[in-house]
Amino acid sequence: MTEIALQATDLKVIRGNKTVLSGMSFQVMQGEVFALLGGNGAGKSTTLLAFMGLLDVVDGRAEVLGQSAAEDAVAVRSKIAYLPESAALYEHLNAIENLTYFLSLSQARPDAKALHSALESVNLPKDSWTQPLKSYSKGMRQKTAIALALLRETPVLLLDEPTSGLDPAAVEDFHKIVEKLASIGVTVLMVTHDLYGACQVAHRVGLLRAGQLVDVFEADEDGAIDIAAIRDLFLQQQAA
Amino acid sequence: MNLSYRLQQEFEFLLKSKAIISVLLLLLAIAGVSVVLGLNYVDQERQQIAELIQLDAEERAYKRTLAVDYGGAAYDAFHAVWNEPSELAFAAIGQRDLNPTMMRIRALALEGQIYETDSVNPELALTGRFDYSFVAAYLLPLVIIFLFYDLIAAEREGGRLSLLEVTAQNSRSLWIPRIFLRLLSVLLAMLIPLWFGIIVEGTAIGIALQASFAIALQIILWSTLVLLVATRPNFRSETVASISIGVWVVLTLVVPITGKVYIESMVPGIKGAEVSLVQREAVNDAWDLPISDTMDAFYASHPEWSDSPPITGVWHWKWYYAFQQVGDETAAELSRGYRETMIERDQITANIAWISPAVAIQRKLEGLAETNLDASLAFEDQVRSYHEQIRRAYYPVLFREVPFSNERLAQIEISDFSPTQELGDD
Repeated sequence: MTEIALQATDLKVIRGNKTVLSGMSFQVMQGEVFALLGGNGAGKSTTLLAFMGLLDVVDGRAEVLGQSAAEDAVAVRSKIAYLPESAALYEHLNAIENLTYFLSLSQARPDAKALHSALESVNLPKDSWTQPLKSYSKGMRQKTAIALALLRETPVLLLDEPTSGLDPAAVEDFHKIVEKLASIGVTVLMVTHDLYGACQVAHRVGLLRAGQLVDVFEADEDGAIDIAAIRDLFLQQQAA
Repeated sequence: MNLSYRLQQEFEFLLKSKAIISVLLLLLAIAGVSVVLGLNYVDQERQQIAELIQLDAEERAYKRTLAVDYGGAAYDAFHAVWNEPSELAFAAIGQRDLNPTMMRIRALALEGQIYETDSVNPELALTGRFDYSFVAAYLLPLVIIFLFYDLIAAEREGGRLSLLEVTAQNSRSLWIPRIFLRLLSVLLAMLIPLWFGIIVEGTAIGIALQASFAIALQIILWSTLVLLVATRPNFRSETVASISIGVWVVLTLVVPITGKVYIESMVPGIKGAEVSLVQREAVNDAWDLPISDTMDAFYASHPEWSDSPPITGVWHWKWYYAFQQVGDETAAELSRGYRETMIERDQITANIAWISPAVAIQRKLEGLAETNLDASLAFEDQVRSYHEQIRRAYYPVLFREVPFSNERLAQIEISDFSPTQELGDD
């Protein structure tokens, strides 16, 4: 039986004087890829932060595999790998050093083989592995961060604008990685501006506006999501 | 949590942070230079003391061969007195270059001899000396500010904070090893030079540990202050730096300077040179006074010599030494006042130390190094006692008017000054 991996229940978050999320609710099942689409300030990244227990929730709950992110952040974070929007790692370290350092934070001690395998799986050129990140393109940094998320081997993956800055080939590679992870039961919640990319990889797409989930679109039997319907609704919401 | 692996990774991370390593090496170098300069200073002082003792004895022996009367012999006989630098003096020179640490005194009026250096060291009093305690008081806090001001803000501004916190799961496992290693590295940068000096000097282990503990406390105090600001949510790194530097300016500059101004206004200072001047004027005036005025004043305070034969001529050595003694007695009240002023000022400074870590660490190190006011006053007490011994050695032959002979002069023995020897009270 498929279990609920992520559950937001009447989530309300206020940052500064602004209500960023106001009563948002949704569920993501284990092994499902759920994409949240929305414009700037819709509350996409805030939703991810709420699931990681990194901000105060005024009302409602954000749960990861049945545990409250607000009440048991440490346990929840052990089940989450996170890919931030800017993929900001340490510029003065190379890819191997970044991965080793970040993984040491989660008490993981990967061997060289695992590190190499992860970097190969994201197609980061081998000759760059020992170069400092300051010499990397944005796409190469993103790939390094994806490798880190993969190495965490967590049941839940939170992605913030994961394909931002990637070239089309890298986006394609990334989608394959996400599909592969979902196939082995990893739950993926991604927030993005990229309507087409989201529809390509997600099982369901939610449309966010002003801190509320406006609608959710599911893939049909062929796995396709009605892009036109989402686009129309999005434009309609923007105009309103 | 595999702590040793976590610390190993954090250590490697620290080693790759060029700016932090550069600053730590700079601190190590500056602290090292301060210790080497301090060691040279005390070594030079010890050499000067050894030289002083040797030359002083040689000159005194030679002068005795030329003596034709006791008064002249006493006049020409200088005696070296010195305040041996302690085994931690290299780290905190303190008052050693402000107050006299080695002198040559003779049976004349003492006050002028003691405060002679008071009028030649104002430039040292103004600037202070670059020593290890200066590094600990003023430079160390700046290094700590540099190490911690952007601890969290740099991660937030670099967009890594969320990733770090989620990956680490627990904030403590992220920050504690990082803070611990930075604290440890700055502690080592300060203690390695200090312990080099301690080993060279053979400093007592108890003193060495207390000095090390004081440095550790200084590091913990400043780290806590900076981290209190750095951990404020949403403070940018430049905000943390500005506030921390502001706190440094207040605690290390404004408070001590304001305290100094307060002390000078509340406890008006008598200067050592004034004591010296009063004593010298009293001595000089005595030349113009009737001899009986001086002798009466002298016998009033030293009745044991009042049965000395009256002076009939226009000159006698016992009159000369009497007005030297009366000169000291004239300045005695002022001298006591000067001492009390210094003690009162020192007590106020001790209170200021409660709100200025810079003042506190310097006072602590100077106390351990015996280079503080207490040590200076203790040395002054020893000098006064020793001077009294010199006077008492010559007074019997002067006031009893013993006929001069080299044999009798040879019987006047004054033991060499010993800073560690308990000297008798007046």
